[in-house]
Amino acid sequence: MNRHMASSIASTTLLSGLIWWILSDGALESWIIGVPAILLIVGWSLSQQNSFQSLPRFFGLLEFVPYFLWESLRGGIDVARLALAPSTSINPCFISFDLQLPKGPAQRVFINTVSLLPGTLSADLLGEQLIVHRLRGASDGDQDLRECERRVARMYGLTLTDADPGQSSAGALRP
Amino acid sequence: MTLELLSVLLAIAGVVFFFAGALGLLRFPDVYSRLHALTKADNLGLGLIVMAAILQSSSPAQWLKLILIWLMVMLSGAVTCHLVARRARRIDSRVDKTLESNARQEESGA
Repeated sequence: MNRHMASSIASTTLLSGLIWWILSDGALESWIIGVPAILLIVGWSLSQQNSFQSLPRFFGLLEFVPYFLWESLRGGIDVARLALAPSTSINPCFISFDLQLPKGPAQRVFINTVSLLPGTLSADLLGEQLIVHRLRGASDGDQDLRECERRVARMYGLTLTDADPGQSSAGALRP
Repeated sequence: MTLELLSVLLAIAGVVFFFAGALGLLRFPDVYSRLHALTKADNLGLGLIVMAAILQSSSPAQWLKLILIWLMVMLSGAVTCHLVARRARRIDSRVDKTLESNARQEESGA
């Protein structure tokens, strides 16, 4: 058993144990059901092919959470203002966004986060292209989506494979 | 006392966002724009109400449970929203194709 596998088992066990403890109000007898359930979860996650990178890095998560909260606050205020405004001034459109994150948990986190960013909603996934619905027309270069993708990649400790032509930093560091 | 007041203010703000989400659902022109209003405004509204409830409760286990509820609702909201949008798009494109082929048939028939 290698180190990745051990740390993956440990973090999955801790996380599901914490969730069980919260749900059961810490009742001791509830672990009769809780422990087998946790064992099942750990076993299932081990049987998944890419279980090694299924959890984000701890410090990456600490870095991502404030960004996520701030952006979802902005997104909520933005859409509430549009809904409450006397005349709706929205200009909806679809754009297609080339995903640079590899398939897997990081990509799923990104797709779900996009729906909480201001003015964007992930509508469909066609291969490596994410179809995004925008409330305020197309924006040049999709900088908000690129920024979000970079942050998700950093949280998972990934390097983006393909540099955005407008950005020199993201993928250029790869050896 | 100040905590009580802050909690009431947060809950009122939460209700305002839920109201805005419902209003957006009624006012926005198509299914995708309506999903914007539902996911984002309701997520923020629930977050504010969870914070208000946390200020009312004294046990840390209850705080964690409330935060867990918010995370679960947020996750299911984002996933459901993506699935509804995807289904709507695929139905739309099918309808477009049917309309196109109907139009072609009419042209060739005429």
